Amino acid sequence: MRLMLDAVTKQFPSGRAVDDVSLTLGPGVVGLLGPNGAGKTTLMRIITGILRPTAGRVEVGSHDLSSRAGRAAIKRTLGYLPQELALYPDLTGWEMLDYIGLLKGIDDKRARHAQIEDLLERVGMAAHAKRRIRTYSGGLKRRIGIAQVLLGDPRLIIVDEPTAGLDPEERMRFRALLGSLGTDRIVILSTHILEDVAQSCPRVAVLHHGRIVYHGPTGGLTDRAAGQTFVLPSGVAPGDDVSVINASSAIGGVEYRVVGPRQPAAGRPVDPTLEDGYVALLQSARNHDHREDPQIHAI
Amino acid sequence: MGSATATLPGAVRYEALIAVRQRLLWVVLAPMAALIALVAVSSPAAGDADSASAGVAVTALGLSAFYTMGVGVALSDCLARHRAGGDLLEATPTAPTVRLLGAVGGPLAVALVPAGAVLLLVGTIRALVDASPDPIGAAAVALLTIVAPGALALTALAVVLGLWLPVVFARIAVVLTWGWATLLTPGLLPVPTVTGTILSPLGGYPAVTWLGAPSTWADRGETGPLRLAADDGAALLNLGATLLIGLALLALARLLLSEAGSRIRKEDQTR
Repeated sequence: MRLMLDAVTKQFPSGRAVDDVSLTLGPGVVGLLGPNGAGKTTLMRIITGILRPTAGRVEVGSHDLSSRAGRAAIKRTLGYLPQELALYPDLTGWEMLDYIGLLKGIDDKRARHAQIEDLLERVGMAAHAKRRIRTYSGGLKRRIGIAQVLLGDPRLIIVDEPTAGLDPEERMRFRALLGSLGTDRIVILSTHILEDVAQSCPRVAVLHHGRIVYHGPTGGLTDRAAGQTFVLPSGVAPGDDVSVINASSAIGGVEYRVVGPRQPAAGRPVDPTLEDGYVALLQSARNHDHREDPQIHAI
Repeated sequence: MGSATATLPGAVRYEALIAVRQRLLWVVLAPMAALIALVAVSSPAAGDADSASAGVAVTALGLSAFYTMGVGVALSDCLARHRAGGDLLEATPTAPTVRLLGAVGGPLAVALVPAGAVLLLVGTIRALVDASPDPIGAAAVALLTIVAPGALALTALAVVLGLWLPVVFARIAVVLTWGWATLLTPGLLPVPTVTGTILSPLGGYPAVTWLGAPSTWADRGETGPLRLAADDGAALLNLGATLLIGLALLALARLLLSEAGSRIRKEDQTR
């Protein structure tokens, strides 16, 4: 199966959330990155058929999202975990999954129940399944959210901040699950946790002001910071022309890791990480915005 | 995979289950049902009715006037709560109309259970007194032609108001509107009203025509163009109008729900 976005634009009264996005994805896990307000959630809502684009075309397999039949067909192949997960607090986890399974059109009761039991095991929720959702912690709710994504064996999976609220062990388990799904499905993972992308996504797309500013191998994004990542020794303050990636206490003061186009005087070059590459890319995108329109201020 | 006829019963079942587990529904409805049952079995007026069926009909009219008000109050936020399901439900292939019917139909079915129980109790007592099963049949007819259609119409109005207004204001508007449409006669207050006409959702015409309730329950002793003589045609018109009002309001709710959804998504985007 293939997901194709062709010149997709979404205009809201407040501005353009998605701007002329073209993207083609095949099976595999792709990370969707971008700062807050970059248009990630809007783009995902368009792909799920919840929002209609103002312009452009979206196709999933042979189905076109512009038609009602196409949207219904795509929703039948879809597993979606929204960022704001609104579960019914008066249902148990098991009942919630059964309800979503019904709404997903899994009419065969026996098959639906078998899937639910299997998924509860896979997300480690079997022991909590008969409790009302109102008694769940944020992490348990997230796990039910992840289980509902997989109901109906979807071929297109879109997850928005799936590991928010999960503890490190749960996150690792989820990353492994996501990786195993990507072998024969399209999986789009939107997150701010770059470690999740580094671990799970061979490819990544970065949105900035509604536009795709990078789409390619995850390693390629890391390479965007090659020759631009430096560590400043203790006692040397970072200048205005660099972005501070982190600061750590060291003997004699604070040691800064920075990304910038020029090597600071006392800076020691180091190998970049995905985080460095992401920051370098956004720096470059913002500089490009400024050159195109001096009125645009950096986020 | 996934037809509306297969999905709707499941949606109704789960929305009913959610309603069953909500305390407010029972806090509002259980005392009202108990009070109406008590009045029905102890009131000499009910015993003096022309027939056992008429006694059941008068109880049904009492339920329709007062208990239905409680149903509207309790369910006024049920679509607003359903809307909170947001993208999770929107991303499923089930049509929004099917989801709406589940979200309204399930809680309404639950809310009608105590009313049905009151009618069954009254019908059973009358059946034992009269040594005839007819009052039990009359209870079923009363539930289907008097209480349920009115409850559908008021619940539909309540969910529309619940989508439009803060829930407290919606509940106040529900009580005022129902009182105006079912209780407020020109004799009580000289204002235009549908009470006593074939547009009133109280169910007076079916009660008078099919169950033998006193004729004043149909036109409320007034005359006017929509205050017809109680007969089968008028009863059918009254029942049809009530159902039509309910369905029209549900269609409006469907429209509001999709508009509200797109407004929320726009607001999300601006955050």
